[in-house]
Amino acid sequence: MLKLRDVSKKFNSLMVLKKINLDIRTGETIGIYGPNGSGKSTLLKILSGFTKPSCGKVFINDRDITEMPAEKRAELGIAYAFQIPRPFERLTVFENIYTTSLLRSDPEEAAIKTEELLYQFELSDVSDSIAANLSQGEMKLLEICRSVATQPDFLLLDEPFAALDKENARVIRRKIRMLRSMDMGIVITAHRSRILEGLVDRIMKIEYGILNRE
Amino acid sequence: MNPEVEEKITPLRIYRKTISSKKRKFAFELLSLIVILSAIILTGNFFLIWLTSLALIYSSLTLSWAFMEDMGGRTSLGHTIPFGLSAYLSAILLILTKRPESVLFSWIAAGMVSAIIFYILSRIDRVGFVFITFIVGASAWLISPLILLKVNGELIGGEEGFSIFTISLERIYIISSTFMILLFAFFSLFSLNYRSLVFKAMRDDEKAARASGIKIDRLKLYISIISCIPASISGGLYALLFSHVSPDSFSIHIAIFPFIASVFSRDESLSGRIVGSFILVFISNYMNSLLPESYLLLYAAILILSPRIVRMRFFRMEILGG
Repeated sequence: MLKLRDVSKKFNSLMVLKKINLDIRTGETIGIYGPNGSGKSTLLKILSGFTKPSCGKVFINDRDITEMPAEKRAELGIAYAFQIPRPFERLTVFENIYTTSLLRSDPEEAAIKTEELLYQFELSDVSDSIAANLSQGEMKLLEICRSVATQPDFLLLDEPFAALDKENARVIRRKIRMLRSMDMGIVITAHRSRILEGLVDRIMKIEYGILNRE
Repeated sequence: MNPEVEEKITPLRIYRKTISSKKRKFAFELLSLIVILSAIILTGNFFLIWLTSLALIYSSLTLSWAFMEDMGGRTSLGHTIPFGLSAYLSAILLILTKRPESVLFSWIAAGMVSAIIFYILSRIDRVGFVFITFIVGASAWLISPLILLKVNGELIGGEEGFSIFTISLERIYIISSTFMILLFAFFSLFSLNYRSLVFKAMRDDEKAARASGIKIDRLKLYISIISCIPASISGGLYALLFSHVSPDSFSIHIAIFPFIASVFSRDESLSGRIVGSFILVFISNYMNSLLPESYLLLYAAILILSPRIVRMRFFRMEILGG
């Protein structure tokens, strides 16, 4: 279980998160929505290790990981997909996934796993394309696919529907549904609750740094 | 061929095919390099062998520099630190100990010291890294005339530098060409190996690499060591070729040489960088024979006209909307 206990975050004098408590279980999908600047991304960055909380603690399976950097948290099974995709630009799509798979498996197994993921995420047709040349929708898929390649227990998706047209948003929805069957804890953030309906087990609203259950 | 038995084109097959074709290209380049370098020594032309030895040493420096850029995404303008440090240390140890084997120690020691400096500097962001390496390299250039040694009651060094024993040109040529070929083979094969992917991932995006679980601090240390030691050996060979070491080993023109030699080569093309280094050394030498120091005009022209700089200018215009 991934837990936040009394987590607050302050940027200068601005309190972005106020005493957040959250439990995320494996196999559970949580949706968090709120307007711009409400603290959604900060919350996910604290969970992934890219931002340290001003106070409070982060636990994974009762182990305190508050001070642990992002790369070590990834090893422990926390994957983070950025809101604006950050592919390894000069590598091909195949290499993007293969690189991440290699960190968990031997080369042969990683190659097979990479191929499976490319088919699952409908990226096999562009597997030899340089990542920088992909469309916005393909980049989003690649971002999520690369996170899944780390074989996480917890997957944090930062606004996966942002800046996507309806067709691409539909594809991402389909892929998130597929991920739900993989027995991992998933946290998805969005601007509006409507987009999360039918996709998550719990919906929570974040406003002015306070997390409320719907 | 019966289409039913035709093998399915899968992403894995495409990837393996691409790697195989790159390996074939590498084998061809390696063979060409060996043939050309063997032909040059067989000519027996002293000047050609000397100039090629110089080009080989500069090529090795460029390859070491390129490793840092291709694997770490860091553009260094301070590879004169391992290069000059090794040249100086080799000369000083040779003068003090009079033992030729002491150069081996100086190459490794200068390489390791430089690797530590580069590792510390690699914590700075990419743009800052370019400036800080340039400043550290230029500082070494300014400080180097202050290095003095007292031998038999006489002060040597300073602006004039140190003179060391002469070794035969053929020997220098063989050592330089063997070293450059080994370096080319090692860097090329490393780049084709799956292990290089984590380095390239870090090169492209450090934050995304961290999110994937890549320990970037460790990789930066490896890159610093793997890039600095060959640069240091190049510096040591440079001292042996000239039988003399002066503050010029740290000069700005050596600092920017790898960058200029790389501007016209395609991304990550090591053979292109070797060709660039050779062209630059041969043309600079020819221009110098016409008018001393005129090679600096060539450097300036390349910097202004290079596709890489032009690309950077367009990129900046796009960002600024200008």
